[in-house]
Amino acid sequence: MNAPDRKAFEELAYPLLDSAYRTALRMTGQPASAEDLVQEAFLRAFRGFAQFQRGSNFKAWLFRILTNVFLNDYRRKSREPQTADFSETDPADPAPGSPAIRAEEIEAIRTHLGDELSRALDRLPSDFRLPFLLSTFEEFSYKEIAEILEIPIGTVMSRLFRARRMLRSELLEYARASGYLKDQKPT
Amino acid sequence: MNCSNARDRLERYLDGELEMESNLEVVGHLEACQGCASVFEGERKFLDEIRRHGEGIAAPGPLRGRIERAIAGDAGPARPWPFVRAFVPAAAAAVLLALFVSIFSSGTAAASPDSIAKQAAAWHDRRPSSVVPLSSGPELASFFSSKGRKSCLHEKLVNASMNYGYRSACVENTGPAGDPTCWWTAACPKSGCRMTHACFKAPPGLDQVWPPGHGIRTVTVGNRTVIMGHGNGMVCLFVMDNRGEADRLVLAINSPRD
Repeated sequence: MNAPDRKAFEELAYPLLDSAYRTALRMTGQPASAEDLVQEAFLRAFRGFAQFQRGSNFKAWLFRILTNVFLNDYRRKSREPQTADFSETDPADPAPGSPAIRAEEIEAIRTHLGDELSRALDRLPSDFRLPFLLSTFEEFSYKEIAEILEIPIGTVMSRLFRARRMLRSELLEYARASGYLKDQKPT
Repeated sequence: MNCSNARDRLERYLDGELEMESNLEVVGHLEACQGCASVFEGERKFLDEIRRHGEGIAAPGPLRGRIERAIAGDAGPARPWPFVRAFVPAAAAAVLLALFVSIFSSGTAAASPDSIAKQAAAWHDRRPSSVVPLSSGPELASFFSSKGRKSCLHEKLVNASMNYGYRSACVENTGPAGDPTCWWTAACPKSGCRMTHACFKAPPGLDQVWPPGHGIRTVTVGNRTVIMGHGNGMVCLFVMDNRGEADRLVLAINSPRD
């Protein structure tokens, strides 16, 4: 790759380093693995930069590579199953159309549940965690997430909404069990 | 719209994924229904808390160096000498300045909305797509108020685009022929679309072909759409990546809520 291309790559890629690391950390759960993952993704992106269509969405392109490296290299080595542990009709999944979350529940999450949030995120199967990370923390659109993960847009929505419900349900359950919230059903 | 319809759209509404018409229906329902407004607000706060938890995580300092070394090893010793590295951006800036001067300068052929749109679309396509925070460029609001240039549709257009999640990519505050003007390009992380905005002194002769104060004009240039306004001796325009995004912006501009 010639110098101008390398400079163009660096100008596009390095502003996204924090963002890529944050996502990688949530994917792998380990700082050292996250660093390796980001380095590998950046290197592959650099090698494939000629294929990047100028003017299109570089962040989505880079995150597609990051996700592929994670799914193909990292998840394969881990014990995590390739597919989600539960089907679309899993009875453990909270029902759609959840009731209003109450002010004290928000407060309990704000003040007590930071660490538990990380653990709850780590517990989400990656099929659900990835759409959640890409949408909630990186603000990709449903269409971009569908392209990054190479799944239909309807699947993105169902997994994303379900991940949010599962997370919320787990956090509130933990807050009640820990005494941060009164044992009261949400209204 | 009833409560069930509104709640079916809750996530897509909060994620900014609804079409404009559907979005406005939800907004209308939330204004009338306290129960749904409370559910939506609770969910929004919940997601805000989750997001807040993810803030502040940054890559460890040495990681960038590691990547740079890996890339350097991959690319070979291609890094130019320091003075060359300094010269390349300077040369690029000079070329850009020359382009600026050639665009919209008083000496060019008679201006028309179409010619302005064409030149603006070409400029838009040359802009970098990486996004940096607005604070790294001059603050648009203070720039315009200090110049006494709260003209035409500028404020409404900027507000509407910011509300749609566009973030500033690069800002120029000097334009053709040294006139105080403002050009900036932004990207919307949601839609992946880019937008260039400019507000500058109307070129000579424009009044004859496009009388000022006649509302918004939309011009298509290839797959770009340029939304333009002309008044108070100024032209304001937005170049949008595609027609869908342009239509969204026009609807927002025309909406009384904005």
